[in-house]
Amino acid sequence: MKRLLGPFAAALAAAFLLAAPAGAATTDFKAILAQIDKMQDFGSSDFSAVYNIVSEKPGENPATTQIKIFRRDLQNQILILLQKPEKQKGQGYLKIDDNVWFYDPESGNFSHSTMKENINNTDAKSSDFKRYTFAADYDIQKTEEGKLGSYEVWIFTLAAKNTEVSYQKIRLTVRKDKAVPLKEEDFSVSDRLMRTTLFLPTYIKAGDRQIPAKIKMVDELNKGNQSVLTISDVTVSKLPDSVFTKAFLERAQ
Amino acid sequence: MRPLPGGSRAFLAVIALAAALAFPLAAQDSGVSADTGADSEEDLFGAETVTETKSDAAATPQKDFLKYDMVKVGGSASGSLGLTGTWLDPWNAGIDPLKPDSRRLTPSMSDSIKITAKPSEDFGVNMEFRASNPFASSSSVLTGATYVAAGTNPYTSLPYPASVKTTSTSLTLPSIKVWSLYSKFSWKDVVFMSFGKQSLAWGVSQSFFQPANDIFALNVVDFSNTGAEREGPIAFKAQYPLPLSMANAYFYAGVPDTTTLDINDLRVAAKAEGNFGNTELAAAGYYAYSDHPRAILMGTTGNGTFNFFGEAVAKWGSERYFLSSPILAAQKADQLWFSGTAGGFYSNTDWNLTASAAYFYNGEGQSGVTAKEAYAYYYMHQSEIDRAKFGTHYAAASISFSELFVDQLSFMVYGVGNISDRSFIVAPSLTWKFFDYMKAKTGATLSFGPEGSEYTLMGGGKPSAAFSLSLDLGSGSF
Repeated sequence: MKRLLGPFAAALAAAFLLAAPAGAATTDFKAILAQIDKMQDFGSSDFSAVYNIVSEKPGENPATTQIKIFRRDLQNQILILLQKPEKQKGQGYLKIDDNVWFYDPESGNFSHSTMKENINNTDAKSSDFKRYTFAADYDIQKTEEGKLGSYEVWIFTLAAKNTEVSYQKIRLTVRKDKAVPLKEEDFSVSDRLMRTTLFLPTYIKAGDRQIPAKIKMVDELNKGNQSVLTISDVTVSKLPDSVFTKAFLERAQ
Repeated sequence: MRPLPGGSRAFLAVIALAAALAFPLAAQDSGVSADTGADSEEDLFGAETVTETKSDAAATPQKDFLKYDMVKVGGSASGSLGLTGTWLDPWNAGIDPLKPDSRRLTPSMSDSIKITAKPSEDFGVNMEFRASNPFASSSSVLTGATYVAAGTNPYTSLPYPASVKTTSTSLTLPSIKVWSLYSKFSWKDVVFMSFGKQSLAWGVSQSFFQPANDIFALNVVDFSNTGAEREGPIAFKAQYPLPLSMANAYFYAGVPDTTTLDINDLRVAAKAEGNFGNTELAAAGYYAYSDHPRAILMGTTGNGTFNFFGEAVAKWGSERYFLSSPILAAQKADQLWFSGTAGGFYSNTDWNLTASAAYFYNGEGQSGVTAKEAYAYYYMHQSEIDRAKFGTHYAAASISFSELFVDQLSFMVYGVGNISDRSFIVAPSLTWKFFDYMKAKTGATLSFGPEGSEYTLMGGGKPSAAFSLSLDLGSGSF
């Protein structure tokens, strides 16, 4: 084994040295991930917004899903309420710590759920609406430099530290000029590209935080399936504690 | 690990070096996805724009859900036209496809109207009305009564007693059901209450067996849609959520669905629930002077993909008349009776699959008589009918694919069995969606079991097979 690894390791090391961009040597990539997380973390403020999701599938008319998000990042709480389509109106998710509940107004019952679940057959998952936790949930496997549109970017290859996240491997394209993601490619355990998310450089500044106002999600398994998320009605005002309860989901009907 | 031959080692080293040298170029290429096209990404990732939202500390976005400026009306319509043929005892008598024992054309139209008013954040009124065909029902109504004194028949010279001569007429009334009608109100955003005719889904089982929900529910579980809301009585419900937690305390008070009520009929219950990791446990108690007290334990756990639930009910005394023979029945007082259910759900969104399974134990199960004999006894003694299940052990399972092979096709099958008398039903169905408002559905309901067993009763006590073909027409929500 030593005989094999000796020249191979040396070649690899040489290759990395040759390939490593000048800036990369001094860049703290973990800090960049932490900055991305921080930019989406509303801390002691609460956050609420309306997300309009227009989903397209080949041969079908575009379908609109509208959800309202209430977030309290300090306590890791999130409440998601479906407002459209009419058939699913009133369905909701409540996440407190690691517990996720799904409420179905048709039965009046709550059931355990997961943040990995897709919202109303769109390409968006519940986890897309919680604050980012890249630094906490992923290890950096590789970093590269690149260009996306008119932006110089870092491209991170991230491997999940736990099984709670929606995807075990992510390629995250981040602007160099500020720690903002532009593109996220999500892979399955078998390294198959599942979904590509494009965070378009149109932002809403709320308080001292900045969030992408338009997001495009492409289903890489089912060609032609894609969803476009548009964010509106953003507020960062304090929400009552009663919002993050099962009772609120029932009252909101 | 088997060592690689020398030639392979050198080859790997060259590949590694080449790959490493190519990193910057590859990185640049990967930044422009072929899937979305380089040109489109150039357009998508142009100059940034930032819109600043006004920082409004007084914003109350949650109010949108708690207070409406106008009354909201919604509802649904569900229509179908079906043809059902039923063959009795097909496993012995065989099936002649052209000669079912019975044949029915089943046009169906059911609608619901929901009205919601939320004039203020702490007060709202919900009501739901349901109607289905036939949309009217006829009943005979007394219009007059005349006293006829005792006397003697002038023709026969026989005496006759005093009597009352009545006249009546037939009235046709619209068949509209008040499914729910209740108000919601809260105290200081701390305690949330509701009063009126409402569903009380206080159990954790959404499966085939729901012993906790059975206590208040007025209708039985719909096996084809076990998660459907069950009709509730007039009741008061109060909920106190422990702030910033998933712990809740509940109080319930309800009355039976009868017209003449006494204070003895008041049913009260309380429940407390809390989370321990991803497991929720709840303890509840139920009391009514005119009913049997119960203690209930409930629990759910799961990760969204696999979910499990359990309910255990201990009941002091039983209203059941236990049959010792087809004609003899007696109650068994002052005894503790247990019932309970346990089961789980599995869902896989990639496969569009949902599967469930559940077991139910009924301590009040009948033994020594067949279900058909029990049915005959209770038919003659209707005041002794109860709502407990007939047998002691039950099991059920279902599998459904919301999309099967193609987007338009869906499949569901469920089976429910009384393990004690070895009878069961299986109901598979296939649905083809032409478009959102038109679907074709074919299904079957097959019953198996010894003669007179519980699930053969739909065939008069013998196994049966019913096949149906229907068109869902114009169903939707608004």
